[in-house]
Amino acid sequence: MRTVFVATAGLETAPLANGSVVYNLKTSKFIMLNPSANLIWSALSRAHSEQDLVDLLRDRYDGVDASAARQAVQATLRELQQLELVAQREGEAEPIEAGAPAGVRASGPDDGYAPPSVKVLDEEDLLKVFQITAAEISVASCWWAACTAGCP
Amino acid sequence: MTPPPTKVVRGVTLRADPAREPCFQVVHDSAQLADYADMSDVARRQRLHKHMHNEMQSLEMAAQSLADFPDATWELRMCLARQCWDESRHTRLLHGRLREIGGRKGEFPVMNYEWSITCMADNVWARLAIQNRTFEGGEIDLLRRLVRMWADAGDPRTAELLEGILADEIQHVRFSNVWIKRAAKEDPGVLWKLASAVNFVRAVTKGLQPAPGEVNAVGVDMTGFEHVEVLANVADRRLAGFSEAEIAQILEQEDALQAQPRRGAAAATPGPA
Repeated sequence: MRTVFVATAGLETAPLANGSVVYNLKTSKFIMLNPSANLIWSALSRAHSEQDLVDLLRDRYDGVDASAARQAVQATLRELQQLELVAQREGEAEPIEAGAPAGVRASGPDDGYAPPSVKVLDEEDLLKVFQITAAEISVASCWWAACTAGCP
Repeated sequence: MTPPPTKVVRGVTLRADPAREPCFQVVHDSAQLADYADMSDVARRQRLHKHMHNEMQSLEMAAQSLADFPDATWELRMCLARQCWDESRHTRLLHGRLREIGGRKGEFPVMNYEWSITCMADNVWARLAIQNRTFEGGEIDLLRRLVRMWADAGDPRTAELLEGILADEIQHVRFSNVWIKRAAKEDPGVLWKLASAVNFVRAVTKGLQPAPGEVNAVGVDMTGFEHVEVLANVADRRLAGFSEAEIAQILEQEDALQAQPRRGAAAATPGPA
């Protein structure tokens, strides 16, 4: 038996190109996670120890030393607990999934490490994040025949 | 709301098509469209035909929301009803112009792209987020460009018509912004519905993306161009109720798109004029 952490029930997650946004229905808060915070968060769909998460972070990001990784994980867990996204209990840790946990985007080799960031979004922040440009829409099909060269 | 009938395109589940007159050939994939890459006579007719059909879909989406969400606030339903009137007027105007330049209804294949995505949403906030805030928001950007494009092509009459449509579309985006922001004050869950809806559009867009080198029904390379030339129409987005922060974010996303490596120069193989 050891101290493990696991995501609380009743939360919803929306993936972003870089990270994710979590909605806590109980507190009505929207929380944006950057890629490294999202890596930790996604692993917490199962119970894991602090050490598991440190190993996960170091495994994913080359060059992050053990001390920095531990500090980052501890700070992230503290913030996630304060926001009622994660609960702590005594129990058995579950194995870390091979590869990226569910919901974590496969990253390219040039994706550098930035310390985990957990940010509460207000209404304007959220509206800002969830927007799509006309060019993005047109990727699926040149959309309203707006292009004049090389594009239907 | 009763679960709607669906169809599957390139592995993506979408709302089944609305009814169409027999003159229309309805296709389900952009590879089956006969969209041209130039401003030849046939391309002009095809562009107006596509725009006319997009306005038809806009009418149908707003009308379907009225039918699907009878308990929505009366004032919001009035906004949707007025939108129906605007979109039907746009359709008639574009049909008239299409006929003036020698085209006809059903001359080109049509695809119910916006309808199929928007009408998968099971709540009015997601519908507004997709149809009004996303698609019509994007249309605000596109229309400003299209007005210039038609004027530059020596067709001020079509340019003027599109300018008038743009004014209406600004109002459609504006009322969705007003209502979403108003409702979110009382229920933050509204914002989550919006977020989920936008992510659905992103997923569909990714799923329907043509493969490199794929050509459409008239031989145009569908991945030969990056579409990054369509830039935010900042002045009209402001009128449509987007905040300065939202506009700044859209500009940032566009900068990021433009900074990505291009797939290649324009690779048009225009079809017969």
